[in-house]
Amino acid sequence: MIGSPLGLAAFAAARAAFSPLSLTALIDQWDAERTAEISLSGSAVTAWRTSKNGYSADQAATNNRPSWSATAINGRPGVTPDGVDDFLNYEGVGLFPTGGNPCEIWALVDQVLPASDTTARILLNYGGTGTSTRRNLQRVVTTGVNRAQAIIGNGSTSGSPTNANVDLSGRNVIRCLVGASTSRVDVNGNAGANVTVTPATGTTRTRLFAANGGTPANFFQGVVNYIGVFNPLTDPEAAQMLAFLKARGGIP
Amino acid sequence: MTTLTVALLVTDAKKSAVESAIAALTPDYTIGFIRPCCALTPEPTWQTPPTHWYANAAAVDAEIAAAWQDAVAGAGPNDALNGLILFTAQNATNASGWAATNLESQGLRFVPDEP
Repeated sequence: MIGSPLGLAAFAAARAAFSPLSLTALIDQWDAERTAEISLSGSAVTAWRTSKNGYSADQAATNNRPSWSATAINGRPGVTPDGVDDFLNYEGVGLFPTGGNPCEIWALVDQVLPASDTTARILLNYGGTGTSTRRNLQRVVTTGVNRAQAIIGNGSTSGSPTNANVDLSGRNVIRCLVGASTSRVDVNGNAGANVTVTPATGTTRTRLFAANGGTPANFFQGVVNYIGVFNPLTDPEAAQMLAFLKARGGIP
Repeated sequence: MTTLTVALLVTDAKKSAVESAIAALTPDYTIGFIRPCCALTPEPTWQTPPTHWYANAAAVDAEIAAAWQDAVAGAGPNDALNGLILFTAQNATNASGWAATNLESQGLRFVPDEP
């Protein structure tokens, strides 16, 4: 007998109590379930602040604000950009790793667009304004299938690690691992291929749901429950994050 | 309270004036035009200059939508909204698909995003 009912209950309670905030590797996070960190006008998000440092991703124009709902994703809270012109902007990169320093970006999303929409849709990007100087996590369509992709600028061009194994349609946990010399994108624990690229990330701004350039573009459409930026995680820590976000998303 | 989804289409020349006029008319619901549009043909590139700008406004109170419609029709003191095209829907769940339909009805499309 492996465990008594009491032991299972204790295990479940311990698992339920896990928070990314308990990980020292967490640099910061936008968490749609931490309502004190979201400012609303009606259901429209005027500002979404990170949990540790309060980096405020803002939107002044009413029509460009994403919406928040308590039951947007798997019956849980989520922020929903419309895919046309909604985005949030933080004019800086805070403590997020720049230059060639490694990081991980984790997200729980419900990607709703069909593969017939072939526009790249950005979930998060930070750094410079162009693809050669920023770190960019996005949804793309390759060979007719929704995929998770990162764009990692190296100062003159960029590398584009793409997870070619998992269809990014619907609810998924995305993990982007940016290393000093290689990067990859995992989806629901399925590892993508490593791509060789040496990051050279700038410091201009951070933008959720649209590209960092002067004119926002590549608008994300879907629901976002969580985005976190971490220093590299250990394997047990990554397993905790994966289980935590999968449980939130109801992902087997 | 009844809310609507309202899309707004304005010429490049009137973009700033319309943004200012709406901010004055309905300060509780401001508009920022950030999606450039151009003719459907010839096939545009990301560098094609915009002729129009499009905005998608979700959860617009019916009173605010009515104020915009009245101003477009010239019923208000401010004629800056003359020429603004409005599209309304009860619940546009796929805003980007709806946008494509709205723009095609005017012979327009979004300027492609930079590759």
